Amino acid sequence: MSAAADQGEGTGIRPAGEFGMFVFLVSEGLLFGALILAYAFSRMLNPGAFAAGSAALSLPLGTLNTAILLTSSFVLALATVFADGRRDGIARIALAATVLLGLAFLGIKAFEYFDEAQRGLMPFRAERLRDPFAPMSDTRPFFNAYLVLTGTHAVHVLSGMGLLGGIALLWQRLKRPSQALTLAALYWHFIDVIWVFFFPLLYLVGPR
Amino acid sequence: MTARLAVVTYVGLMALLALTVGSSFIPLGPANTVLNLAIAIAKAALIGFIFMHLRRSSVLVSLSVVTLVFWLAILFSLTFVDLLTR
Repeated sequence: MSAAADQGEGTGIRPAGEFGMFVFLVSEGLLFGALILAYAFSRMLNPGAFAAGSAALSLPLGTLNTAILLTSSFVLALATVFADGRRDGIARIALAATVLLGLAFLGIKAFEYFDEAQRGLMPFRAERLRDPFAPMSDTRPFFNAYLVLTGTHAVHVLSGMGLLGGIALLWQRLKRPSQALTLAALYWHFIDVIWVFFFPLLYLVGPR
Repeated sequence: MTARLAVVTYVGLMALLALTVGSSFIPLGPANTVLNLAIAIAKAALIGFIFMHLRRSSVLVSLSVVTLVFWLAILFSLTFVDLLTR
């Protein structure tokens, strides 16, 4: 069997795997679509809270995180190009770089959460939890949506890092590493697309 | 996809990011949100068509993406029919 056929080319394995991955991504798209719908519903009912809440976020950190995720997708796209060209060593290095960029994204996100919690903006550090008679914060509806949207997204980034990191580590033991990489890359690019929509919805609500 | 195409796509994505952040400093009212979403759709299209190979995907894969858009359209339109006519 030729090397190309061994990697699943021309055998039906590639198209079947790709279709299966897209069916999964469509179900994920419905999950995030429903979350964005809840966001839009809340934003229409509380326009002031969303403008004020969005202005309280750090635009430089949000922009940096978007750039990091776009870069990670680019590096991963290069990894698939290298893997298809049978340059396994450099493909694995690019994979590891993608995982590190994902880690940087989560680190910055965690710092943002910490900072927003310190300022009492987050639902779990709200003034009302300690004093039930305190007035509800003006930005609370926004931060409810913010926490749910970014939290769900962060869990996906974490699982994507596990998937890509696992492929990089087990490359030699996988039967079709280049095929596994192609499918996992679809998942990572999808997570990137979700963030591309979240960034303007969360960080760019009102004029700066 | 070639490495060259990936680089061009990446430069395009970064340019669109700069455009969307830059536009937020120009007060346009509701047009800011519309512009931001249009740029987000353009970025998603770049990632989808090039990084995710939708440009040369099978009919089944294209159909699954169309299915997603179709169901989301129902979800959003029926919800807003309620919300906007109260």
